[in-house]
Amino acid sequence: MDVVFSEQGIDARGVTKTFGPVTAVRHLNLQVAPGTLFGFLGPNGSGKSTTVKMLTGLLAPTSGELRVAGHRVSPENIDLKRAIGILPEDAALFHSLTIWEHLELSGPLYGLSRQETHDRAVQLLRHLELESVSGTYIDQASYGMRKKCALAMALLHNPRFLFLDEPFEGIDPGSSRNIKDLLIALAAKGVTVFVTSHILEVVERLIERFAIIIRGEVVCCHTVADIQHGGMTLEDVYFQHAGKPAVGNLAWLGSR
Amino acid sequence: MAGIALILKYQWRAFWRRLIRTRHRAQFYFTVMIVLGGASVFILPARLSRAARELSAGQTTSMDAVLWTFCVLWLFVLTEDASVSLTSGHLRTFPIAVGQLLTVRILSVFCSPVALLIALGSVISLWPFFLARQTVLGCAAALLLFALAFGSAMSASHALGVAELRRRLVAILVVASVALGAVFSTRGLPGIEQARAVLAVMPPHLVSAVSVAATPSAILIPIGTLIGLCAVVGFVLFWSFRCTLYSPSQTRAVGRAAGSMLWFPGRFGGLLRKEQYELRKLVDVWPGLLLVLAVSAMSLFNPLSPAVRQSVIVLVFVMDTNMIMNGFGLDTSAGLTRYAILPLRGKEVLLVKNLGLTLLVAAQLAPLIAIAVWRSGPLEAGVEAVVAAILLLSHLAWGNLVSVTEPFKMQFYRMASSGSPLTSMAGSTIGSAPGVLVLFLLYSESRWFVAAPPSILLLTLALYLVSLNYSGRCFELRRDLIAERLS
Repeated sequence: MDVVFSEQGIDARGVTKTFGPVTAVRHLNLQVAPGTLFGFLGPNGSGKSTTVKMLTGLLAPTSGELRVAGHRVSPENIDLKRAIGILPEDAALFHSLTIWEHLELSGPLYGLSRQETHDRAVQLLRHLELESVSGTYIDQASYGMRKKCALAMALLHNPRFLFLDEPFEGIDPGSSRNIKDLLIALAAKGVTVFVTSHILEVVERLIERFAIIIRGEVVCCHTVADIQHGGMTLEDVYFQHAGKPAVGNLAWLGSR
Repeated sequence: MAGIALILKYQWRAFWRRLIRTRHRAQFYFTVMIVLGGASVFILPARLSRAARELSAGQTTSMDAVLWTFCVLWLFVLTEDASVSLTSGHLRTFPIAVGQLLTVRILSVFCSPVALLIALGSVISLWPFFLARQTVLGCAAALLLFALAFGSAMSASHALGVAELRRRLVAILVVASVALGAVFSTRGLPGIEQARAVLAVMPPHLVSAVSVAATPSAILIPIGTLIGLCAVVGFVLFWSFRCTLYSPSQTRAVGRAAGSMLWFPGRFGGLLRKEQYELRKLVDVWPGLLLVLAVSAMSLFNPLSPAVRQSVIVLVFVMDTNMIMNGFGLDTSAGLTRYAILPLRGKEVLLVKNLGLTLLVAAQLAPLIAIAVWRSGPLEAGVEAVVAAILLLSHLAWGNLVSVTEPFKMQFYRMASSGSPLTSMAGSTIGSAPGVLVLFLLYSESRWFVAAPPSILLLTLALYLVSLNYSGRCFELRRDLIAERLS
């Protein structure tokens, strides 16, 4: 029987990724409707970033099929890359270029005119509180500044799909709030936002749906409204699946 | 095309900005330019004149040598860190096709002044063809050759970046070295004649042969071969580039598993494992090992004189010089902070690094020493081991000093760099001197020849200990400066 793929959203069917003997992602099945703020959560090394890389065509899956915005995801699908904005795990920035130059370089590659690039870059930098440091070389910028620069690059061409790998990591509370408000506004306009994060309190107030991935397997997929209706928090659900480390095992710490 | 031009504009800007911002990089390029420029001014004109005279008389020896030189220079440029900012890996997040990314990658090489100088030299080297019988075809064949050298070097550079391809490349090179050694030893012809026979079918000679060809078949066969080779290399270049973009580099799990089998005792065991694990990832390890394997294969069939083995030992150390003289080149700024956090003295950090190098050199030379035991007996092998120990100590003594005073960022799966060719030449000269002196005394049959090896060994050991203490102290005082230069 042929699998029917969602034409507009994010659709992953039976996706597996192995690195030599290690299976990073196992039989991933995931559907995200357009305009959803989707959280992809899990402990370190659970396969979140690998999934984001596969969904954005930066990494080919070992098996399975992926579609985003009706495009079959493949590393060489240029139309897909035009349709999406990516904030990669490592920010993927260029040393010896300033924050401003990153945006100036990025816009025309997505088909924006110089004027359009300039206007949008000014607004984005202002919103992300990077305006005063736009002349800073990226290798001299702080971790948070780099993240924000990469986020501005992901937003510059006004994509309909955003893949953000740990967007709140290293970001100050003010900017974090700005980013959160911006993402909510974007989702309201029909932009699909796929976010990975460890900061559960922030994510809980942002996302509508979420999935938890543990050791490469999606163990649950709910809406935030559902869990809140059941009197639980995102943290409760997370630890229900991820398990809580016992502090008692470290009794030797602090004792003489 | 507009996208490529835009990327190259920023590539160029970032490259030169980085050069200007970091003094040691500027110094590196300046000294390379001085050495290459000097060679171009003082050596190249005479060589080209000679090649032109020979080509006009239908001879190709000098032109072959010139073409070989440029092929090697292209190889060298690409296996070095190109210091580009806009890497293909990062650019692939943009909507750019693979072909365009490859174009950016190829053209980005020419941001480097060294690459530009070599390109200029390559064009100038076409001059002798104007006096040859087939000027246009000779020039065309030479351009094909340069494209071939460039494409092969870039493909090799791509292969080095992908674990699976890297393993295959290494396996091919090991088999080729052993086979070459075996072939050279089994046939009855003298080595030079055999080398000539091999060189006659190599691409540089095909180019020279085209330029002096008198018959259509003498033109068509070499030109056809060069075009065929270029087509193959073009395909391999594209394929290998695609592999670097989309093949996972995370087969590291396999490498790690193999690496974790090595266990070292003692307090420094874990750190030593880290050191040798990192050092194994430098390309410099391989030329020495392949040379040893080739010579060992030759010795299996025909006993070689001890002098050949001893020369190979000296050569292996010369090949390892850059690696030895840049002990912190593979460390990051964060890694240096970690050394400071750990309860370790500077000299202990250097000692662990030296032990890592010693293990690697021992692995390189082990086949040769084993062959020496078999072919010449334990005494002769002992002498060779002492020569190797002297060379190791003298290289490390000098290398530790350079490591803390002139650190230079290195990359995994690339050639090691000691920052400047002058430093490198000084290092290999100073490092080799005591070992060469021992060999000289042995072969001159001077009355010192019995006492020379142990006394020079003790002397180099003393020098090494002094250097270790001094360099360790320097490391403690200059850690921030070293971190800055490695960033």
